[in-house]
This record gives sequence, structure tokens and C-alpha cells, in this order.
Amino acid sequence: MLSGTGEGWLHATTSSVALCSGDVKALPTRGGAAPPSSRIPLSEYNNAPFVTTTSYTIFLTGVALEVCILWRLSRRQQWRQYFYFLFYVLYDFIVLDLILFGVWRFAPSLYRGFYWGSETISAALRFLVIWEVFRHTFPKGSALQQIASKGIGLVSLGLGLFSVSVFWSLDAYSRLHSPYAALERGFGFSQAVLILGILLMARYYGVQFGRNMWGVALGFGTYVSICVVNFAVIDLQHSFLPYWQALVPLSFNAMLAVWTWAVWTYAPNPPIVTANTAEQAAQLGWWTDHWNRMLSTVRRVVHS
Amino acid sequence: MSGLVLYAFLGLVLFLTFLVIGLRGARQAMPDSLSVTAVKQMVGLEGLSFTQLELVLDDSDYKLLRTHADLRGIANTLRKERQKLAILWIAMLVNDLKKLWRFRRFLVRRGVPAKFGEEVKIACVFLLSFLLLHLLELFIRCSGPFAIPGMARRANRLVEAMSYAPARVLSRIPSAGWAEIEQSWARSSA
Repeated sequence: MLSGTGEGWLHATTSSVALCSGDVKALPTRGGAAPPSSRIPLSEYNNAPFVTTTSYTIFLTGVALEVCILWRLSRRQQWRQYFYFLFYVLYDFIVLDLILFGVWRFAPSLYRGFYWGSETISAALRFLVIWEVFRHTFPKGSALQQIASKGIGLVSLGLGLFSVSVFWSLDAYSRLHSPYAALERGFGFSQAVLILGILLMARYYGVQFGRNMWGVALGFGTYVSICVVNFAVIDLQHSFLPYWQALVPLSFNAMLAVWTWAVWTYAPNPPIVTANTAEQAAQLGWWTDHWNRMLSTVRRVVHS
Repeated sequence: MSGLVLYAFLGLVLFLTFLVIGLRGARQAMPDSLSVTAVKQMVGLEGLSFTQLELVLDDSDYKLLRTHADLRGIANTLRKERQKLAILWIAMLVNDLKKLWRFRRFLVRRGVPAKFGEEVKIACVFLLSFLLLHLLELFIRCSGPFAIPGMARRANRLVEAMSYAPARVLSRIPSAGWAEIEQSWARSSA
């Protein structure tokens, strides 16, 4: 469909449906959008029933899973606990599913711009999911939160600089077929590294995960890392575009399925048990003593 | 171009990392030390309580004896003795493993709350550990006690981890009832 045949098809990106057609060379190289690039009448895409049916199935599955997540979060007022996560799911459901579908149906000329605008906002809102995982893993007031926030802050700064430099570099920008793909790559990479950093830091300090945040973090990390590969390969090799275009919505639905499993029962992270001050001082004293002994033994071994 | 390749590569690495993390699962909470000790006392884990494992697996004295031509015979005897000890230790570990599994089933039979998924996971761990221990025994019989010390230590850790499963179940009931469980277990295993 992107080889210049002019055949149209129904394209589902994340949880939304878009129509695309045309030659990839026709896509603007700067400032323009990647698919969806144009719309075709309903009668034409009926010629490709497999793609249409698949796309509709993916779209409807995504909607059903999002409804499931929202329903489970509304039970026992879980949404209060996972407010930022809820906001992201709600945004995707209302804007990328309901409103976008309405735009595609009733105001097709606005579809392309609206799609990419809302998709970019959605990519930025994914940082809310990371923040949700972070604030539940390292709760406010805990000693770990101070260490973790500094570490994650430094990583974020590094990632921000890296993403901006790659985005503006000649290599990425001069051959760019879509700045949106570059944006998705940059955001996706930063988000995958951040969520992985939180998981590794939690593992390092032995912080326990509940089912809710474990599932959210794992599903999210897997999805955004697929996005990074996907949007890099899309710009690298266009002949694989149809397959890669199906991969993102499928992986998005897989993430939603993991999230549905995660929030099906209320299982928050167990609280971090902190020792009282006297106990902490005793433990720290014991540790310092043994650490010093170990260091002196190492020194003796090295010098002998 | 190189930036895109870099992104594709890093994305793939990240994806595989998340896949591995997902397959390994979330870190489970360690049962409290009181219930672990109680399980060890009730079940009587001989293999796990053996503390001289490093001595059995250490080949430095064997190597030292081998350097002298006159002492090679003694070195070989030492190797055979260690081999017997290692096989005996593995047999004790297998016995511990079986006891732990039986004890877990005993606790669940008595009505201690447990989930189906948890039970399946423990059964799988038991089977894997059982196979690993027998494989280790085979290796030691074929290539001596010093061939795979890393694997032997891992086997010890596996059985140790297996002891956490009944400890987790035990910690779900008040410690006041543990004495009764111990008596009942002693009667059933007699």
C-alpha cells in the first residue's frame, strides 16, 4: 500500500484508527506527518477486507481493554491511588478512541492534524505513568525517595540532552520522513530507560512490588521499547512499513492486557518497613564496623 | 542513519531486558526469619545445616598433595573420600527437598491458605531442583567432587530457597499454633 499502488487501508496506531494510502515518497520530509496521509472512501478500503477487519479488531480490543481498566480502577476508589495512571488511560480512551473516531467519521479533513497532535500529547503524557510507578515504589518521606529522586533526576537530565541532540542532529533531521517518528523514538527511549531505572533501583534496594505497579511498569516498559525499535525501523526501511504499522497497535493492546491483569485486583506495593532511630543507629554502627574490618583485610591482602 | 540504527539496537536491548525481567517475575517477600527457623527445626534439614560445604568442594589441598610424587596416592584417596562426602551431601539435600515439599503439602492439607498458582510454581521448582541435584550427583560421580563447585553451591541455594515456601505458609498462622503443627508433623512422618 505504500509502494505507490494507491491502495488504501485502515491503519490503527496505538488505540486509534486512521486511514492511510499513497507513496511513501509523497510524504513530506520535514514538518510533515507520517501516515495517516490521506483518506479514501469507505467503498475503496472494503477491497482490503483482511486489513480492515484486523484493524477494526485491534481498535475494538483496545477500547474494550481500556474500558476494563477504567472499570477496575473505579472499584473501591482505586483511581485515587493511581490518579496519574488513570489520567493517561482516560486521555487515551476519550481523545484517541472516542473523539478521534468521531473526527475520522464526521470531519475527515481535520483527522490528520488532530491525530498527530493528540498522539504527541499522549506520548508526553506517558511520563505520568512513570511518575505513578516512581511515587508508589519510592513513597514520599521514605529515605529511599531522596536517593532515588536524585538518581532518576540525573538520568532524566542525561536522557533529555541525549534525545534533544539526536533529534536535532543532521543525521536524524535531514533524512527525516516524519518528526513525529523522531519524537516517538526520543520519548520512547527516555521512558523505557527511566522505567527500567526505577525497576533496577527497586531491585537493588530490595523494594517489593505489588501486582498493580509491577504489571503497569512491566507492560509499559515493554511497549515503549517496542515503539523505539518500531519508529527507528520505520525511518530506516520503508518496505516493512505495513508490518511495523501493525506492530505498535498490537503491542499497545498487549500492554493494555497486562495493565488489565495488573489492576484487576487491588494489590498495592507493600509499605517499606523502616526501623526506629535507635535500631537504625545500631544497624549502621554494625555495618560501619564490619565494613571497616573488611577494608582493612583487603588492604592487608593487597599489601602482603 | 547511524542514529536510527542505534535507536533500533537500544530499543531491542531494552525490549529483551523487560522480557527477561517479566519472565523472572517480581521479587517475592522473604518470609520472616522466625518461621524459616521454625521450619528448619520442625522438618530437620540435615543437608542444609551442613556448614562445611566449602571444605568439601575446595581442591587446594588435593592440588598441593598432587605436586609431590610420593603423595599422589594420598591425593587420590582424598579425592575419593571427598567424592563420597559430596554424594552423601547431595543425597541429604534431596532428602531435605522431599521433606520440605511434603511439609508444604502437610500445611496446606491442614487448611493453611495457599493459592493454586503458588502451588504449581512450587511443584515446578521442586521438580527442577530434584533434577538438578541428580544431575549434579551424576557429574560428581563422573568427574569428581571438584569439577563443578559453582553448581553445587547453586544446588544448596535452591534447596534453601525451597525452604522459604513452607515458611511463607507457616507465617500465615499464629506462632502459638506451631507447637501443635510440629507434633502433628512428627506423628505423620513417623
